[in-house]
Amino acid sequence: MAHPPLSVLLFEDDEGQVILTTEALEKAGLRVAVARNGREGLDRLLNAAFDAYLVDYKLPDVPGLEVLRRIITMRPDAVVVMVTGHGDESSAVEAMKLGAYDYVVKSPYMGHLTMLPMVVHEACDRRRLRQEREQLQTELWEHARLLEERNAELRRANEELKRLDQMKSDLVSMVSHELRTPLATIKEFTGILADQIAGPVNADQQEYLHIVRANIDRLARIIDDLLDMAKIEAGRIMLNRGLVQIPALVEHVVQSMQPLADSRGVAIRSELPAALPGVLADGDKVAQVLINLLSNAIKYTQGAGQITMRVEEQTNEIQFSVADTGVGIAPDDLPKIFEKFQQFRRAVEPGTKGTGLGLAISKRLVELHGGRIWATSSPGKGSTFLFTLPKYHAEEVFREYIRTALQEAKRKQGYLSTIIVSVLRFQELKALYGLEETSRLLKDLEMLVRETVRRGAGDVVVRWQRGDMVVILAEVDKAGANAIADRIRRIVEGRTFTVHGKPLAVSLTASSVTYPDEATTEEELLSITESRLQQADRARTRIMVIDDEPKIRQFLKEALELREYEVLTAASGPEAIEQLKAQRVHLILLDVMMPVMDGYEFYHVLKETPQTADVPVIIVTARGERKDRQLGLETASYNYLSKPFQLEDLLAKVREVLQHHPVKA
Amino acid sequence: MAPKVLIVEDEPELRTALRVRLSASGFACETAGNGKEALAAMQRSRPDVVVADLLMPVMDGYALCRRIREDQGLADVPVIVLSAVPRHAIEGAESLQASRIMAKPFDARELVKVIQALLREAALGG
Repeated sequence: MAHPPLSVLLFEDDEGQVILTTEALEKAGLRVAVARNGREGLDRLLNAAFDAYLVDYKLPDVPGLEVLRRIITMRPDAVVVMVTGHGDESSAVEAMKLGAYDYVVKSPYMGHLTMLPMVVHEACDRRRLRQEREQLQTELWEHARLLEERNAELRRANEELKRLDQMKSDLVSMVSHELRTPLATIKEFTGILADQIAGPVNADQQEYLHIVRANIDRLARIIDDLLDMAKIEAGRIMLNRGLVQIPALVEHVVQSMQPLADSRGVAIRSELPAALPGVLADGDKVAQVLINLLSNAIKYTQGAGQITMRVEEQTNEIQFSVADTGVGIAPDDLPKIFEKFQQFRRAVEPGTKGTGLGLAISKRLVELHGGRIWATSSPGKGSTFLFTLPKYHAEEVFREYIRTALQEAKRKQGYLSTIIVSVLRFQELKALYGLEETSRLLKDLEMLVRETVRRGAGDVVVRWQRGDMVVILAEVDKAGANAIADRIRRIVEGRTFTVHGKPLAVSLTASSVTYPDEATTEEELLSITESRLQQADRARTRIMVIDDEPKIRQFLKEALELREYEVLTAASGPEAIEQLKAQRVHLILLDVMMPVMDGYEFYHVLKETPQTADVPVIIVTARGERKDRQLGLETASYNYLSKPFQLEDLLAKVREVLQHHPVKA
Repeated sequence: MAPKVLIVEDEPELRTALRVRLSASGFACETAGNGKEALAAMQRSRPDVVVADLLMPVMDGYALCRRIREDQGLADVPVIVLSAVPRHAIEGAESLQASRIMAKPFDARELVKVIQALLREAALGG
């Protein structure tokens, strides 16, 4: 690189050193100026800057360190290299602290002379690098500052845009309102004239009034569509998603379009599969899309045409199609039909011209739902418009189902029950017969459950991933739900399934949860249903409740049974021991204060009996009643719960203890 | 006796149009320019049906509906709300407790049919 030679100011009083040093430095391409003492050098510094300063530690007038300090004060980024006598290295450390770049120790054999140019070069390089780094840092800061400024500008612009957007949206709403009112007045008076309320009207006049009214209606539709479009474009259309039952929706849409179709002599046929899963969608918006497609189909079908509305379930989506036998669309026009204001050249009856926004709105609405919309056509034969809605994960549908059904039950002040059907030993079946055979088995089961439930008026939501399924029964109370659960179990267990060509009997548990009996909110219903689903794989856990107070016994039994535990109860220690001889349990809930045999005594008997020694115990005591230490009960598997306790605490304790002390049944 | 219809609309011309149409259809019409005037008219003489605009000065259709439903003597009077925004765009349509909501511009013959239907329902219900 073609740098100008580096300049060095040498502070040196020894004439010999001056000559030798100057020679060494110049040989290395450096330019050298010499100061014979500190004051002279510092004076020169006032007028000129050098790339580097070589300062002898022992100058006749000013000490070297002082010279260093002054140079640094005058020129903070100066490269100063101290030159010290032999044995003076300790002062070098101080020099570095003061800001020297480096130091060189004078050698009696002048060896340091060869090092000096290198040290100077290296120090200058270091300074250059540092300066460059600082420069970069400054630039970076500057960039960051500019960026921040730019961001602030963007934020301002964005806010302005939002404000404008809001204004536009408000404007559209306002214009829509302001246009509609005079339009209503025009329409009213036109109607009054046409209906001859204000006097007789001749045939020509009647025809003209008809044209006026048709165009008023068209203007009204355009206003509606503009309002919709403006909302969509401003991102203001919120999908009000719920569980949509497609057959009901299709029926409703076809019904509402029937008069128009009849008036044009067009037949509407709908083809739906026997079973369709519910979709999560905004029912009103999906209906709006279907109505738009249907009314287009009717509009562009002349004479005795046929419109077929078809719904098909595909792997990941539900596909809707509306096919007409109308005029068709020219191939050139097909790609453009979903754009705004594309009035494509299709012959239509007078007065039925569209707004040019219907398909554009439909496209946005479908896309908001995560679906696609497209069209195919053969001119002269007809067109088919298709769109899809995504299918949802069973879990989402299930939750949405319960949410919707519960709202409905609340509104009607009725019941809602869920039945949780779980295949016993499902994991074992899966391991034995493989995923494919098990899936097939589950499909058979599902059909059977669907058939059984159909007679009981309910929906079946299938969540087979853990070998379980939820049946949702609208307007069915607890007794009804239990009856249906029983029927499901009986029918399934009475049936022989085949796996790998061999007969197989399947066992089920089917239990129900009912609103408002067991759950009063959607969360409760969901969580109880979920908790039973989660226990589906497990064999039922048996808990013994020992308490002399019948009310507490009953309360604990019900609370635990609701969580799918099997519960045995006993009123006293001896009674409990009697039962425990016959049946193993996984956990004992024990009240300490009991007549006949108190809890502590019972505990000892329990632990001394081999069959029950390993069963974990939760001891329920009144607060402050912990006499356990005196009684020497510090050992083994028991846990405490103080009365009065919260049910949630008890359940948490039960889960915790069961987890830590699994008992072989 | 002709059934009494109270028309509540702040646009004088539309009010006139409604009066002409409904009178011609055989209803005895009374008119009011806002909710407050309507309530006063209803206190003087109880109408069989109210046809009311939604957005009006002084007292709007929301407030009018609420006041009618809160008044023991008037609570069961059917109210048809005429709205200049489409049905799905009406805020609080659920809470409006209107018997029917019709979007402007409406079809007058349809309006007449709706009034007749509501009168029949009221006659059956009473």
